[in-house]
Amino acid sequence: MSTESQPPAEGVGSGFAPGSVRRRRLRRRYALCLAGLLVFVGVMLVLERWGLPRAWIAAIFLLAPVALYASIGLACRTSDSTQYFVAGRSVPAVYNGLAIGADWMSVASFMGLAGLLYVNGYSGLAYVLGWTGGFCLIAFYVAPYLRKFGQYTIADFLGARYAGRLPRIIGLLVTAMCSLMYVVAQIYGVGLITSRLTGLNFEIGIFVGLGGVLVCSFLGGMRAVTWTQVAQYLILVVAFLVPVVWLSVKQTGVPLPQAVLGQQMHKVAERERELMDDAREQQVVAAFQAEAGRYAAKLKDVERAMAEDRGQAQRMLERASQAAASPAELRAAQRALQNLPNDADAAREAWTRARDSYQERARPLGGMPPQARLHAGDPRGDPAQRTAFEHSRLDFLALVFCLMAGTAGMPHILSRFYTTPSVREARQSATWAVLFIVLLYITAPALAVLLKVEVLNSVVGVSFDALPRWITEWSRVDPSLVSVVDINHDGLLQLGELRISGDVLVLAAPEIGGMPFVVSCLVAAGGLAAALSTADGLLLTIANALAHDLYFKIIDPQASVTRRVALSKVILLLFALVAASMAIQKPAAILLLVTPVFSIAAATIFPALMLGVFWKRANLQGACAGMVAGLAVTLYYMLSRHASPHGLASAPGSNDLWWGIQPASAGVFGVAAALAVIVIVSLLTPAQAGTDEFVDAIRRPQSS
Amino acid sequence: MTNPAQPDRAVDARHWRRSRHVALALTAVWMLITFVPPFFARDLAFDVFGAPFAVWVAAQGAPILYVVLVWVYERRMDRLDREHRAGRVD
Repeated sequence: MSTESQPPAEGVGSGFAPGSVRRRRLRRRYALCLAGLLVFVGVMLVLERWGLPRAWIAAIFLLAPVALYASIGLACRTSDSTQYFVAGRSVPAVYNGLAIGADWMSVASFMGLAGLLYVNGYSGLAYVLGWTGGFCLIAFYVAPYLRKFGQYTIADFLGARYAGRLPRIIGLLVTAMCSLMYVVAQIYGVGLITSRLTGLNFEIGIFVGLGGVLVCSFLGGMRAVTWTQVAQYLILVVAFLVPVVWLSVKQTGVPLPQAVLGQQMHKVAERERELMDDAREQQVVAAFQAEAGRYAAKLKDVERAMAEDRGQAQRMLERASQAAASPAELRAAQRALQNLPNDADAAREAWTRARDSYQERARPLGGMPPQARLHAGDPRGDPAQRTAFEHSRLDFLALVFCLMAGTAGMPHILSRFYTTPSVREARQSATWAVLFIVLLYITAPALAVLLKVEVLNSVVGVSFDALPRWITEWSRVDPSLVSVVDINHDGLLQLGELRISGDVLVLAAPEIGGMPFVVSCLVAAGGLAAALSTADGLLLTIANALAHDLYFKIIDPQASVTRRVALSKVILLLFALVAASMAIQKPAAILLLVTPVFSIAAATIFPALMLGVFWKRANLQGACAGMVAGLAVTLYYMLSRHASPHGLASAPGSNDLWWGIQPASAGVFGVAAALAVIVIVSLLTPAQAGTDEFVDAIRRPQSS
Repeated sequence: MTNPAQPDRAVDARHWRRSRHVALALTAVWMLITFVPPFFARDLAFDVFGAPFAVWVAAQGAPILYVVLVWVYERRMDRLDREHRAGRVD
């Protein structure tokens, strides 16, 4: 049935060739690619020594990789449907593993993860666990069976297994929704990198990056994307490892960052204790506390406070105009008057936000938990502390679960398993993929700790007259990314006075560690590779879902191959533009954007896929009801609990979290609901004819 | 595609039963390493390679074990598939 024998199709732009020759050629090409990358970085380091201007270096690092991707994309351009949708099912296991690695490691892994571990400590490790352990679920429960089924998309599987249009439609809607939300985060990351690297503004940076995304997926579909992703994996992993190893050697002399994790954590803990007792840090906390108090007082009587503010601003303006102040001062006074909130509601909102943000910062260590603290709260403390501990622990476990089940339901990763030549190679590619992914994930915690050592020792305490260059440059890109304020007026930077968004930490790592500018550019190129590779895979997944599942399978089954491929390209372009316009709004931190996607995928696709293979009795009605229930529960919890920002303890509806589980991890409830509903509804409705044969065929090993 | 003869069915059923057992056994290990150390993070108060146990497991131990689990699964399934083919030829 589903196991078609494939002709040995072509690899990177090569003609037909027998398997072993082709594999040798692939190995030679990518070895050359890796060697070329290392030589390139070496040459650039020398050129930087010789005084090549920074703008040139940045431009070369931005353009050279994109040129590489574009040439691979061009070499692999195709209009053949098996090539376009599943890369001809001819990707050897190792390369599929590499491609999955690149597809998987997005800006969230490359930039977000280490930053989160730096800011949140232990609780960030939920992402390391979740995003690696999820591959066990993929390998054991999904990948081999999908490959055995051997069609094109996830919706294909749902449609065939449950023999109906509705599961296919739900599947493709969820695919499109998840992939779109995920791609917005990638394009946002692209915007950050290009705007930092080139000095262009954020909006233009996004569109420059978008061009990079489109050159690959647009021309050659899955085939071009696969072979580009292999190159992108090599670039992103080198780019991630170089600064970590550099920092590790610089701080400890050991070139293996994973091995010094514990040792450096002790250093961080020691310095953290010093800083907690530091008088200047305490001044900063008190100063933020006072600011928060000022806004709290204003909030007590909003009307009066508004009148006072207005009066004060007017007096300032009068004084400025009488004293013949400089035009700049005059403008500043005018602006202060104009910027006052217009009505009581606006004032209340703005002041509440200000109060909360000062409150947030009025904590030791700039609000960051100590690096080695395991969960918040204290199991032996007062009741409030005990609840905080219980909730933080449950939330950690819930998040890990959502990320894992979400990984096993992420359409753009799952559809990669269609591209291998056999079921056996699909299983092998899962091993390779998780190996390549773990390589980066076990390095990220080390990077976070090494960076913290660096910041606590070399950045804290510098004079405001001699701020490091990365602080000024990043705060110019956007003050919400990096900002400093000398709130206790001692002219020195305290930890509490520095605010860094986790998203920029990895990009800034080379500068924080005092490495050459070339390393900064390399890291940026790696981040770009991570973003582009994932964005390509995602956009292709959306386009294929709509062109293949919606148009070909439902609207017009007579559509020709050329028409489907052309349609897929048009949809891809449209969605790329939609995602870019959403990313321009600078929606939120990267991890906040992607986590809900995992909850949704976990609660819809994963249960339907897994029960589809492992439980013959699951039927059409059960699958549809289960997916809808999973989606509904997840979205309900996510949206109803998200409505009020954290810290607003007084607002109704903000404290009614179920067992303290954060809205982003709503998938735990969703998965439970989906599984329960699939089972109950399936048992209440009659069994489907033909299911047994289908499932037996999926389970039976390939006869080869 | 294939003629569902009786002996083939038995071979298929045995293969499926065994592959389910492989998956379940590995899932048990996976659950143990994933959910137990974070739950008892505060109680497991000893260091591994200088880092608190729960930190080391989440940062390095568990991810490396996941690679091993997926690899073991791959090897076991290869063997089951070979046995399945042999069973059919007989």
